[in-house]
Amino acid sequence: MRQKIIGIGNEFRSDDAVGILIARKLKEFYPDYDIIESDGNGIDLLSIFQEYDKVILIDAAVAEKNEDVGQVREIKVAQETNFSDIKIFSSHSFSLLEAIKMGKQLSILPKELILYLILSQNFSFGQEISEKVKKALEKILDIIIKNHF
Amino acid sequence: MKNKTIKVDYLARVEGEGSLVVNIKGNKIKDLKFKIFEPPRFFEAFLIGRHYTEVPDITARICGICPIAYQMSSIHAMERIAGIKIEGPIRDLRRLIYCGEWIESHVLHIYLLHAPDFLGYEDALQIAKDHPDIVKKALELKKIGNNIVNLLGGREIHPINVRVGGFYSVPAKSEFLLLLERLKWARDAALETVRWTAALPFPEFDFDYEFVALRHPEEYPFNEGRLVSNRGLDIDISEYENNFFEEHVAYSNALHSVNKKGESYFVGPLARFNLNFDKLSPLAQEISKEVDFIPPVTNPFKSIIARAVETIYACDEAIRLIENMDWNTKPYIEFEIPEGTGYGCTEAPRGILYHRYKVSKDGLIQSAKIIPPTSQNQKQIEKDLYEFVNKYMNLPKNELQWKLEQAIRNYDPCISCATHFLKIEFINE
Repeated sequence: MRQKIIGIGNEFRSDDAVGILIARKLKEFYPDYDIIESDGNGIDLLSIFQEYDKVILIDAAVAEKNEDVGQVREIKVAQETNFSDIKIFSSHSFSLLEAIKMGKQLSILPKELILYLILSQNFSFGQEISEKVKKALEKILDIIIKNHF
Repeated sequence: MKNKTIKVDYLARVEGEGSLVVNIKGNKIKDLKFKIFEPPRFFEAFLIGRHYTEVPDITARICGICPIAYQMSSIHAMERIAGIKIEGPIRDLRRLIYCGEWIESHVLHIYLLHAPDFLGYEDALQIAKDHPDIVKKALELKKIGNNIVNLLGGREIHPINVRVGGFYSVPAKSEFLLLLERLKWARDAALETVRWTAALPFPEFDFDYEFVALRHPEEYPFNEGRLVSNRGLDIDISEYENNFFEEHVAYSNALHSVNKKGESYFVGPLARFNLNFDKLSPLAQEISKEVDFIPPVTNPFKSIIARAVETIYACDEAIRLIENMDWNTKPYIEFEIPEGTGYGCTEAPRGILYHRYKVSKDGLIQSAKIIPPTSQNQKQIEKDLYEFVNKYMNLPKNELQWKLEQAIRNYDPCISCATHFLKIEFINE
């Protein structure tokens, strides 16, 4: 089975770096695994979807409420997943969310598509990550290592 | 028409960073304010104190769609300081990687961002519903651009193989030969794309623009050339800041680029096409003539055709470069960098991208200036919107909203992602 792990984000947009940092950590632990960083360009993700059986995406998402910052959401995407109430922060011209919807439309989603979203708040220019998001980073590392390696 | 206010807000990450407000009273525009792009000031500050060798990789992170453009403008600036000129196979490889980026960027914009406007679809998802074949073809086309960038750039998504002086390594010839057949398919698909875009319905909207682009005596411009315009500009890129200025705009923190007379100007595929038609490959010229797309083209909505023509050119040029490449080249040349200031200006998919760096004797960045194409087009977009509202004020509200978004996307600004984000509000005073 072909599996790929993709950490999404922008390392110059504060909390938005979290997906990228997780990918880097995983790559450090497992240099031989297929792990990449992505800026979240949806079209490129679509091409990847087509070529893998299992894709794990890690990205920051907007926390609607302050108390939610640092929480982690795990979403197993299936054909019937409804994305209308999920808000994924995206600077990308064709976002992750659009890519998943398009992938569904064209029936090219991988058999298994798992999304780890870290609820975050600060997406301004900078390289400082909020404490709560830093903690979430460690939590997700644990979850992914336990479940997917 | 009644009084009305049209308000545009950004979606997602760019939220809060851009807006369009149109206020119409009676049959006159009372006010039109457009702000859509935050200049990369963060990066200009972030680069200070960094070693010059880090700059290509850092600036590549500014734009996910055109990392190569940022790398190319920065390395050319550094090489100017070093007093080196890259020739032969390394120069050809740089053109090749730029071909990949143009294919990726243009195909994305033509099919998934701009075409829905012309065809009356909300977004690309709707096209995928009715015409999955078109979207699948677009994905395949775009992927060929990605393949070129990945092979030469060294990594998926963020290329890391580009360096001042050349590349860190050059991939094996065999890997590119595998791409040749697919590039030939892509060229045919791009031919169809030109015919398809040329048949779209275009609103009547022509203006006397100042088009600005690079021009090189021997080739269609990617990395090198003089800056020229249809109004007689012809300067070395080091003269950029003596001819173009950034104006602070009172109502936002954005900067509007203007020419010496304080007027807007137009950069991007349509500008390149108009100023460099004779340098396109024979096939790209031929198909342009076939669909009656001949310079000067002064309708910005037809930029979509220019993107399609440039996609053919990029495929053609990539095929030519791969077939004639000397693959046994050393990947980079050795040099030393003295203290100094250097300028780089290359043709990003969206138009000229200007960089200036001052480097200390230790190779550290002392100052940086980055002026992306969207920043340069911003004032022109605002002017187009003004003229469009003036001309088509009596269109039904929804249609006007639609057309204004389409008019913004003519320039493929860095937020063309934000599909259908206009909110129109009627205000009865």
